[in-house]
Amino acid sequence: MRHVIAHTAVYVIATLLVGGAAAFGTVRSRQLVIVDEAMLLSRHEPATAHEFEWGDLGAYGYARNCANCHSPDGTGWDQYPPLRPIAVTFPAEAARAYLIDLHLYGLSSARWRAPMPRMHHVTDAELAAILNHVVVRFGGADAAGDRLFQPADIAARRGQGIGPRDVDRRRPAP
Amino acid sequence: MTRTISGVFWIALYLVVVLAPVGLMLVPPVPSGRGFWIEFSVALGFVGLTQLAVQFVLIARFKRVTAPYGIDVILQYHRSIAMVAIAAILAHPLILVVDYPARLELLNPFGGNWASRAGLLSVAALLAIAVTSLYRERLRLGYERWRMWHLVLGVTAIVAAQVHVSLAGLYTNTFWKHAVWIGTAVLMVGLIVYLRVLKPARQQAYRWQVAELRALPGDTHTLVLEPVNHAGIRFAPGQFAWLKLARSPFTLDEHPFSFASSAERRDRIEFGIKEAGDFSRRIAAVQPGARVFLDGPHGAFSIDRYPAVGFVFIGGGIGMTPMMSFLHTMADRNDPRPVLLLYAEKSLDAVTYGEVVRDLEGRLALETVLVPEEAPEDWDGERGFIDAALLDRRLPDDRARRSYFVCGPPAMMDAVHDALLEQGIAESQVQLERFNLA
Ligand code: HEC
Repeated sequence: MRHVIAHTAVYVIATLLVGGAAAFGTVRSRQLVIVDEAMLLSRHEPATAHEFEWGDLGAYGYARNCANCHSPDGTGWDQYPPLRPIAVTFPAEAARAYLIDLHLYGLSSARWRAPMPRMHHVTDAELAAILNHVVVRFGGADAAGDRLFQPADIAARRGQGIGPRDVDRRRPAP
Repeated sequence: MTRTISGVFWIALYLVVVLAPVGLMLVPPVPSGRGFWIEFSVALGFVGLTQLAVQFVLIARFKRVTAPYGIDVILQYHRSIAMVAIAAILAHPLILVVDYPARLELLNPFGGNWASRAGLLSVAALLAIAVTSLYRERLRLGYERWRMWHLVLGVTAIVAAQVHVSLAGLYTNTFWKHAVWIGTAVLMVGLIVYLRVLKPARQQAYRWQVAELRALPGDTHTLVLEPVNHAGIRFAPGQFAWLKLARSPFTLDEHPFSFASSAERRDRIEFGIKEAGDFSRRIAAVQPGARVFLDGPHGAFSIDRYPAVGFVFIGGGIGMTPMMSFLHTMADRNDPRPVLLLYAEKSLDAVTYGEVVRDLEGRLALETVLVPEEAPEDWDGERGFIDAALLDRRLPDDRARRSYFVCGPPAMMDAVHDALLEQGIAESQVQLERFNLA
């Protein structure tokens, strides 16, 4: 009797585990969980460029999406590149496109022995804010300049159907 | 009743623990949700890791936790659920690579980063655990050696997985989340220290010595133990203990054996040991006065757990030892309830407890049916295997109300179990002792 119950328990728990994991996946991929300020902000994308308040959202978005790999101040470690040098090349048009693409499609190169994962799930507003955070706070770009990233810049580069290797080929010479 | 309550309590706690990581991952700040497959695979990794951690609790032999179910069932559960955990953990990197093939370079131990290397080490340790456990005999891995490796690999797997989570984890993005994960892992590894160091240290004070070793038919010995300077052990008939035959209790060489003697005697206990493996052969050569350490009692296969108006005991070979404990205990208690004993053995000369059972028939309402697999022409009793037809012939009229206890070789137990159900005996009336505790 006890053995039969233990057997059933294994199936029940296994189902629970996989079911729980699938529920988690669904909830997360639909961005259903934990509505916080930054999340709300990134959902209600601002109407005009001038109203785009990226400061807090950028810091927050960087901390929760990038910091664990590139370190909180962007210095990098182990197989994760520092972001300061790339941020300094900011003004060039090709570098802007590259910076956006590597988030939307990932990046895989011979320079580092790990790939940069795709970040296409991050909303346009949050991604633009993160990029501004990187180029202004790490790269020393002008915080008020009109060359900052706007949500519309991100939206324009979605849907190209390229892969992480293609992104690497488009990397501008530093 | 309290047993049922504590049984339910532990299961509820277990479910909470199992799903705890999923909750912890949702404590803000959470990273932006990624695609379904990534998040699914990450969740699989986390719940797999918690399952790994739980294994350390399952094998720590906490009596309070195991008593409601019986430790044999807990270990059976350990074997199956650990495989589920390993499968979940393996699925984690596989899904990630399929989702984004650029991640393939992370599977190269010389490429990738420290996070991926730690993950790989953990997976390698888990695969080694699975292979050595499933194919221990085919790999000719001795029991002690396997045990040693099982321990080392298990600790490696959980430590490496924890390092992987700490380095890679988007979800351990605050100090406290980090601390909870690492704290749990340290606690789990601490349980190993408890089981292998603290518990043996306590056994030091509860030594036993061999009083006598009696040879019985069927290559079996009765090992009689006496406590050294303590009152002995209180156990329920049918339970068992892990036995170490060594100068010091800090050995991995321990084996489970059922008590064969009466539960009413705490200070002179007997085990039935059949010469099969290395260990039981060593026991056969042991001298009176030799030092023994016990970890017990464990197990839920006991007549004391199930109220009944009468019993049917079905034992095969060395599976008779718990039945002997039942019978001796009932005799000492002057228990009037009727017992039918079906005793299966290879041949008539191998019947280990034949004489003892005959003596007990005088003190109990006991009827014995010997079922030798092979018997000479002139044997007029039962022979062959215990099947539905034999049960139908021999089971008493009040068969539906009796409690059934079955212990023997796995194939016999399966067959008898099926045959009993076929006879209309309810599943809840049948208790099996699957003596597979490795
Ligand atoms: C899982 C770890 C990980 C996360 C999370 C991550 N990155 Fe990366 N990132 C990498 C790796 C590894 C590379 C190098 C890839 C290569 O060159 O093959 C990289 C490359 C980059 C580069 C290009 C560097 C160069 O020299 O071309 C930039 C810019 C960058 N990451 C920014 C970010 C930002 C911003 C975020 C957060 C939205 C982020 N990364 C999140 C691992 C990560």
